[in-house]
Amino acid sequence: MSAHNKRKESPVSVTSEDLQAKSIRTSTQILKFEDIFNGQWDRVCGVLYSIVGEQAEAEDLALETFWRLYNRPPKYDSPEKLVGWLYRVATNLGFNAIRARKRRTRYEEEAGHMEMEYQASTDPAIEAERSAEIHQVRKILAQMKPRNAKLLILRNSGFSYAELAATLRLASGSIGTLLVRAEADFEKRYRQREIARLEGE
Amino acid sequence: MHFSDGEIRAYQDVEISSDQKERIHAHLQTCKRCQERFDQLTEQSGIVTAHLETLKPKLQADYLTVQKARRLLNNRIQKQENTSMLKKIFNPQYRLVWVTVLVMAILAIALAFPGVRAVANNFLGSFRVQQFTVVQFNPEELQNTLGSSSHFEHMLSENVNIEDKGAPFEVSDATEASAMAGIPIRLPTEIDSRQQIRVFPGASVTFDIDLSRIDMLLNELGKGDIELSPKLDGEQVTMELPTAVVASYGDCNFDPDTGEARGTDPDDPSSYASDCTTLHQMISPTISAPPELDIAQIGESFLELIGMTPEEAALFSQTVDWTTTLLIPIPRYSTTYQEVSVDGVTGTLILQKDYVPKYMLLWVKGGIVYVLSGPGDSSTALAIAASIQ
Repeated sequence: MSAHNKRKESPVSVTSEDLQAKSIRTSTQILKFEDIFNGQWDRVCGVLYSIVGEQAEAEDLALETFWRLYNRPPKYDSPEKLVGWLYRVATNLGFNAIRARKRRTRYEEEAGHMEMEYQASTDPAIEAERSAEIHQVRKILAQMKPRNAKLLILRNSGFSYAELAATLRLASGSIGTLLVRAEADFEKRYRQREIARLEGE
Repeated sequence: MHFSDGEIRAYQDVEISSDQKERIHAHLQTCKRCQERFDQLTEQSGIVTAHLETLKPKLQADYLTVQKARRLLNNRIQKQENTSMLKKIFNPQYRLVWVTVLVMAILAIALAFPGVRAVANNFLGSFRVQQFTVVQFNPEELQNTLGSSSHFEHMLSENVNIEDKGAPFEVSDATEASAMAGIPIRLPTEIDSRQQIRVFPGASVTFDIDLSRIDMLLNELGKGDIELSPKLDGEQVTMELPTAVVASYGDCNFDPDTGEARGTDPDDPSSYASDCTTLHQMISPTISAPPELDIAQIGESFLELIGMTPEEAALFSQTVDWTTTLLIPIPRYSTTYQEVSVDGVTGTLILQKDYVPKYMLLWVKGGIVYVLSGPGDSSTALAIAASIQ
């Protein structure tokens, strides 16, 4: 009950100066929040775009990711682990958003979401095909084990094995094997869906 | 000796030491089996990469500049401060106790501003929650007012006593839950996630009125001119929370350690219980209070405390039957509410706008309080509520 009343500080007005001054402490060094923000903003957005497929939503989720870093920075012993944490939060938020969208679409028209992925182009037929492909890929990723889906997304976003290991808390020596398995799983699911689609036609 | 898939893949990705690279390179020249596997993995990787490439923007992405993003982050930090209280309320772990917290907050806070008068001919021995009404407020103001008060914290910790009637336990179905709770438990059919039904044996909450402490609190808050009825001293306000049944669907398990391992904020379980829908059912709680307690006055004082002017509070108070209504304060930011028709009665639907929008739908029917909450919008809430049988 007292949890609601323990907070004694008044809400603090945050300015850009505060963000610049904010530091994140690891056991080996002190990092400036500003540096992490500047250095990772575009990449976090890129990873999230790959997951959610909408720029505005990706930017919103990226802001949420950095807000969490600002508000409650984790305690790690190296900058690599800290950045790994950042992408762990980002991918969790991205897949959570996809799951919530999936739930919502049960009550809404599925076509509505397809429409969102459809981007205007000079050739509607090509765009429709591309939209269907994106929809398909995203559905498969949503059905896969979260770790495998994240591996594929992050690797495709240019993450090195060391970065993948830090983000997903895996041994770097196992990344190659796990990537092979994740790709095999993806390919198998894709083939099954294609077969099902062709049989339905 | 042959190389593993993982080693071949790391070789393809140039993610191995130069020594290892040379060894695998030389091996592939002579080993047909490994060369075939190399070709298979190259093909597989190429196919999957081609599919995944479609997820990237067609053109060079033009994300917000760092400067613009930083400005938005500033705004968000301030906004989140304001909505954090609501997140707590929506959080599955807090849902069961929110009735306790809010009712006791109304009583405990408002007792500091009672304007108490003995109303002998309007005796109020007890009341039962029959409906809800929502009032929006700015959490900052309440935090500024009470968050800095040590007397308020002491009052809640020393004068408020919560007696649990047992630990929660899981039951197998609605029949068993009905037997435990003493009410017919109803469940929605419009959710296909895994169902878990738990019984919370209820609690008894008492608040001992300590006038000297309340006097100190009043002085601290600059309201020392309010006179309190000496008759209230030593009296007790009691709220009985009956056994509640909570049916949950989806990912509702809250474990801070797991959350930390998943990289989510351990203090914000709503961030990873975002796929959790719950339906609470319990007999409407009752509150017993001394006759000197003027609930309407208390209600108005509470409204003033959360930011209304005395005139606004008086006006609002006229629309509320305080003996049957539970007031739910929600932050001004990011939330909307509306009256809706649900289950044949009028309910209150609160919507929280967030990355994962959430709803809370409350109604009372046949003396039973229903609280449905989860991710989604009004159509989600009403569709699930309509399927309750």
